[in-house]
Amino acid sequence: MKIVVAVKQVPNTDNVAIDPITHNLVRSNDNKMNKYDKHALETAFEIAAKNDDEVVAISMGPNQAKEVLAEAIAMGASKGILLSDRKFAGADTLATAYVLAKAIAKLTDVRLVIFGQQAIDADTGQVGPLVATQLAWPQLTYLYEIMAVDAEEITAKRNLGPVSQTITANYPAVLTISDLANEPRYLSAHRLMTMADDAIITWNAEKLAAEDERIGLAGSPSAVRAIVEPKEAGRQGKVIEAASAVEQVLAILKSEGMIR
Amino acid sequence: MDKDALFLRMVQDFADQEVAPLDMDIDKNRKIPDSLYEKMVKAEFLGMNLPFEYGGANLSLVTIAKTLEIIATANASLAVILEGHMKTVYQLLRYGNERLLQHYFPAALKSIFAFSMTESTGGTNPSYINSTARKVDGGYIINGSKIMITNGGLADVYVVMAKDEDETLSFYVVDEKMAGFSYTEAEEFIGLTGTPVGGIAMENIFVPDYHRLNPINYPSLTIGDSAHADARVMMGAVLAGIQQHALNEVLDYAKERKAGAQKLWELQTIQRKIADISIGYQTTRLLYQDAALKRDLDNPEYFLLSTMAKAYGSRTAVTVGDDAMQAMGAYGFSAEFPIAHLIRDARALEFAEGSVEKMRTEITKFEAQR
Ligand SMILES: Cc1cc2nc3c(=O)[nH]c(=O)nc-3n(C[C@H](O)[C@H](O)[C@H](O)COP(=O)(O)OP(=O)(O)OC[C@H]3O[C@@H](n4cnc5c(N)ncnc54)[C@H](O)[C@@H]3O)c2cc1C
Repeated sequence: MKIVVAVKQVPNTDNVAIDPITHNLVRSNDNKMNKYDKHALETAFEIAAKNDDEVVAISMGPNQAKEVLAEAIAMGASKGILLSDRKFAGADTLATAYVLAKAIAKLTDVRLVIFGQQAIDADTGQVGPLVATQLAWPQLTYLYEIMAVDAEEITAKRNLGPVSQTITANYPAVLTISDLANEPRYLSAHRLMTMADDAIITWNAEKLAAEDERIGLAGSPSAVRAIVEPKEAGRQGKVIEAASAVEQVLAILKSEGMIR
Repeated sequence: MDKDALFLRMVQDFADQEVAPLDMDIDKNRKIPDSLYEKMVKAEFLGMNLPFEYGGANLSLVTIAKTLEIIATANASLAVILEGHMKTVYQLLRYGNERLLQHYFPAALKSIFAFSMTESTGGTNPSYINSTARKVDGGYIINGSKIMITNGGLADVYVVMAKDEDETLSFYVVDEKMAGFSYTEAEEFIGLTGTPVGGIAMENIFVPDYHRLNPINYPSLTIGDSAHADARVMMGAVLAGIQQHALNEVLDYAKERKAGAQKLWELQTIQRKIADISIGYQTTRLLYQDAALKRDLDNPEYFLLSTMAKAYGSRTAVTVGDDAMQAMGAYGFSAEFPIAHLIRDARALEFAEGSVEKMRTEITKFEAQR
C-alpha cells in the first residue's frame, strides 16, 4: 500500500521575516525541508519497511519546492508529487489542506498520510488535522512513538505535554509526528544523483479538479492582520520596602501572571 | 534543480549535528567515536567519488572538496580520513583495471581505502624505499614495510608503492586479508589526532597480476603525483575548514569579550589579526576550488594549483591559528578552546602529501619549465 508524506519547504533561518505590507512570510532563495517533516518521513520509511509499502512525498508550493521532494526521494521515497498552480497562491491552512486532500484522494491504496506535527515557519500545526477532516479519516496527532502497525490498524502514543495517550486507528488514517519520534536518516547522495527525471510530477488545479472558490486567497477565510515581534524587556529593577517585601514580591509575580 | 547544493545542505546538517559537538573530545581521546564513524558510513560519505554502479554518488571534486571543508570546519581529523580514502579511490579509478575495481569497489561504501608510499628510508625521496615487487607466475610477490599511512589500521585495502626488479616504482593493491599482511605500530602524531596514521608490514604477499596499477592509463602524471594532486586539493579544502573554524572561534570571542569600554574586535590590533585570518581563509578557498574545478575539467594545471592550495593553505592555517590564539589572549592558549588543536591539525599538513619544501621545489620547477 501507499504511505503519503506531506513535506513543506520553509526558509532556512530561525529569524522568519515578515513582509510589512502583505504580512506574508518573505520567501527567500535559501530554503530547507521543515524539520518535523523529516521525522514524518522517517516514520513512513520504518513503517514501509515492515509492510512493504511505498512512500510517496507530496508538497504544495512553487516550482522550487521540488527541492524538498527531491530530498524526500533521496531519503527513500519512491516519487514526489508537486501541487503547484498560480491559483494556489495566498492559501491559508484550510485552502492548503483542501488541495492536499484533493491530491491524496486521487491516489489509490493509501494506508497512511503522515505530516510533521507543525511547520517551523508558521507553527500552526493545523494542516494535518484539516486534511484528516476533509478526507473524513481518523487522525492521530503529536505522535512520539509508533507501537504497532499491522494489516488492520496502527497503535501509537501521543505527546500531549504532561500527559501521553495511547491510541489505535484503522486505515486509512492521518498521523502527525513529533520530533521526539525518531532520528531521521540523512539523504543518500547516490539516490539524489541517480534520481530519475520523472520521479517528481506536478499536478495543477485543473488536474485536481479543485473548485476555484476553495483554493488560494479565495479559499482562505483567515487573514493575518498583524504579526508582532515580542520586544525584549531587558532587566528591570525595583526597590521595595523591607517590611512588606514578601507581600510586594508576591503581588508583582501575580500581576505579571507568573504565579496564581 | 541544484542537486549538489541539496547534498551540501545535508553535509552542513551532518557537520553541525553529528561532528562539531564532538570536536574537542575527538582531539582529546585521539579517536573518532565508533557511533560517529558508523553514522558517517551510513550516510554514504565513503561513496562520494565512487561510480553509480557501485552505489556511489559520482560527485565532482568541486563538491567533494566543499564537503571536506564543511566537515573539517567541524573536525579536521574526520575530513582527513575521508580525504585519504577518496584519494585512493581516485587512483584506482584512474589506473586500476576493470577486474580490480569489480573486486574491491562493491565493498567501498563500507570499507576504507589507503595509499601508502612512505617508508622509514624514503618520505620526500621515494626512490630510497625498500619495498620490492618480484614477478612470479600469475602475479607478484611483495615484501617491505610502510609507515605513516593515513587510515593505516582503519583501512582494509592498501595501494602500496614498491620497487620492481628494474628499480621502477610501481603500485599494487594489497588487503588486510592477504597472507603475509600485518599491521605495525601507529604513529603518535600531535595533530589530526582523530585520524589513524599507522604502518603495515608485507611479508611475501602474493598479489595477482590485475592488482598492479597501470601508469599508461593517465600518462601525464605519475601515479604518485596523481595521488598527491588529488590529496592536495582535498587537503586545501581541509585547511580552509580549519581556518574557517579558527575564524568562527575568534569572532565569537572578540564580539563578546570586552577590552575596557570596547569589544575586542573594535581594537585595531585585533582587527589586523581577524582581517588576516579572513584573507588567508578566502585565499585558500579560491586556490582549492580552482584546483578542484580544473581537475573536474581535466585541465593539467590542477597539479600546480593543488600544490599551491596545500603549500599556501597549510602555512596560512598555522599562522591563522597563531593569530587567533593571540587575539583570544590566554583563553586561546587554554585546552578548553580548540585553537591549540587547530594549529596542531594544520601543522600535520605541512608534511603529509609532500613537505612544504618539496612542494616549493615542484612549483618552481613548473614555473621555470613552462
Ligand atoms: C598526518 C600525516 C599523514 C600522512 N599520510 C601518509 C599517507 O597516507 N601515505 C604516505 O605514503 N605517507 C603519508 N605521510 C607521510 C608523508 O608523506 C611524509 O611525512 C612526507 O613525505 C615527508 O617525509 P618524511 O617525513 O620522511 O621527511 P623527510 O623526507 O625525512 O624530510 C625531512 C625534512 O627534509 C626536507 N627534505 C627532505 N628531502 C628533501 C629534498 N630532496 N629537497 C628538499 N628538502 C628535502 C623535508 O622537506 C623536511 O623538511 C603522512 C604524514 C603525516 C604527517
